[in-house]
Amino acid sequence: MYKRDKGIDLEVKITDVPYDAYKSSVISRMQAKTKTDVLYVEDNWMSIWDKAGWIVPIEDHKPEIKDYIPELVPAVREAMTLHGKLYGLPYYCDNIIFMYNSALYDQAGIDEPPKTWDELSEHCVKLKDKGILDRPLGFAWKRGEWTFEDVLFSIVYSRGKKPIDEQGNLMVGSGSGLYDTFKWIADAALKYKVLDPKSVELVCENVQETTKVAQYAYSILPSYFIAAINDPKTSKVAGQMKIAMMPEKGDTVGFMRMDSMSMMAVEGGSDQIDAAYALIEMLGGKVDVDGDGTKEYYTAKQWAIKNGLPFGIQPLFKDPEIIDAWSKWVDVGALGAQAAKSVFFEAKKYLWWEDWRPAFETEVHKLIAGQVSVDDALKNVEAEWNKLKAEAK
Amino acid sequence: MSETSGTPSDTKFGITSTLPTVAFLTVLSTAPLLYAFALSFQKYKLTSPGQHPFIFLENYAKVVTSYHFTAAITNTLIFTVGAVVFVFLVSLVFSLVLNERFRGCAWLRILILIPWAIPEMASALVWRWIYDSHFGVLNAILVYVVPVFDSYQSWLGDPRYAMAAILFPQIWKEVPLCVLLFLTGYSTIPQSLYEAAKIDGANAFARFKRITIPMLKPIIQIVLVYETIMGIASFAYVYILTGGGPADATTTLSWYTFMASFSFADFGQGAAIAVFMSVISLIFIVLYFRLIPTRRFGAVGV
Repeated sequence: MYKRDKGIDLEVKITDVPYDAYKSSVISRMQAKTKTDVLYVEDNWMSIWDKAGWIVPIEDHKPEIKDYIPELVPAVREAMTLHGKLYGLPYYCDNIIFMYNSALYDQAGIDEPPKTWDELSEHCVKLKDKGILDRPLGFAWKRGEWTFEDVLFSIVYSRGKKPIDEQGNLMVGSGSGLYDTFKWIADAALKYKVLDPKSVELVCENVQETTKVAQYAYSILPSYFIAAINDPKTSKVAGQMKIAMMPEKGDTVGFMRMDSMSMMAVEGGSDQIDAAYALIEMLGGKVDVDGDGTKEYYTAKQWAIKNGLPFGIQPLFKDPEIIDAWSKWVDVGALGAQAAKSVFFEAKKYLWWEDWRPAFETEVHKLIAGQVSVDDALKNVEAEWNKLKAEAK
Repeated sequence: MSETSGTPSDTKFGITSTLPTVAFLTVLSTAPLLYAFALSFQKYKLTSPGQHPFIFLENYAKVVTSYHFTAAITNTLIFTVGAVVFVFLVSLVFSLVLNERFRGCAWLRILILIPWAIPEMASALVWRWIYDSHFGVLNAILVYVVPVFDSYQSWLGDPRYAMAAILFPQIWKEVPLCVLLFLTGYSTIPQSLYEAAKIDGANAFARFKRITIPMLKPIIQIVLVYETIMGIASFAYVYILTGGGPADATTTLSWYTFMASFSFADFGQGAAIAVFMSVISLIFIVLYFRLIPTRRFGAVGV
């Protein structure tokens, strides 16, 4: 139990769980009906947890939460909305960004970042041919890695194409965004040999560390990682990693982690609801920290300034303290421009999304290893999608 | 060879005194198993709260026809057989060495326990850094110290190495316990047998084959059964090191059970896979008992 000072009169019992174990821990907790009022929720699980009856739309119990809606980044707002209602306030919200090493570009005589994905392959070949890097491009595509799909589908969205149609069908035909992306991955890995095959065992931190020692010229990661990559205390490439808009149309995937109210809190009555909402507001909303009557996004701002954690709240992009802190490692204008082009990947709201992911990731691995053709990989992921979709119905 | 057994009153006392413990342990281990078995015949998805109809074999059918099943069962068998064989052989060799009296032997017996004392999750994280394809110590050794390769290898990302890469930590972790078990087994073998064999002219190998191995059979059985169960249930190394990849090169039933239950939110399917795992364990155990018959408890003479 702890009690925060600075005017927030709230006692909270926090159960701290390593993130790898968080989801299974919550499932066990909820199945055992262990009292839990507020849950940290990933967009990947939101629909399942809602269907399980664990989380509730907060606006049904606290209509004032709707005041936050205009200030949320659109992709984040969409991600946190189910059945037309808002389910929480953002804690960590981010989007995938495209980073390139400007010093390696100078070395290779490349003038500007790629405008298309094919151009990216050409740049990689140039870096390879000049003996600068053998595999300039690496992804965090270990199976189960939390950003696997966010990164891959960012490439799809950046082509200006949607991966899912209005009926919830996966679009995999020739000319679809997913087809072009799979083709591009296969070519990068097998034809040009510029995509690092080790990608299949890497998590984000591995890509970050490899980029920090200039073994990758590119990183396509959540923007959160650029703070560490450009940190002069730990990185050899500090100041060299720049942001460019995602190639082609510039769209990217935005994602959210929010704090949501549990059904148990609602069942506990109005005091419980008030207490849960107060915590959710403290973590993701505006609170009067100094007791002077002015409210601010306290937690989000502290995280942003101290750790570079992105937030999904529009006014904070203009906060002078955040701009000042972030300017040390990133072009804040470019970051904001990319965030404005982020879209929510709607497939995450389907109940079979989590079931499908391991099969999808397996096919991507096979594609990189040359164990399956683009057509067969797409046929397999589509078949699995359709099967799970039918089962869910 | 002769055999002695207790008197009827000894037997009665033995049964009476162990019955409460046996009953308690039976309930403790059987109840969850029965619950899982019952669950495997129900639809138990978190997305259908409160509705758990009996669906007979539907979960089993779903599991068997699933995308992951073939790889999971094949890899589980490869992993388990590999783990059992190597753990058995390595621990047998180590225990024979440690059974000899030499300087530092007592320290070595303690040191060898270290891997066993480290929690599996923690050791998996350490192994992840050892194997790291860009900065790992294993690669550094194999490229710079003992130059076997000219570049860093992807131990966890290359399908040729991935299974061996998760198998090795399992062997490393399990060997210490089995060494201990074997050492305990050696201490129960009467020295007079070895002395008699020596007088009869039996060399070291003959003594090992004719005395050590037959007398160790109950321990061998325990080691095989225990390691089979540990192999089938091994999870942390798969989850932390490879996530079941690359592709599905290290997808195992334990990984699949976890995913079905905690990612797909389908406890019915998770239970069905767990039943598969139990059946496989049972088949192995029956096989061991048939192939390695031991004398019944109470046998003390030779």
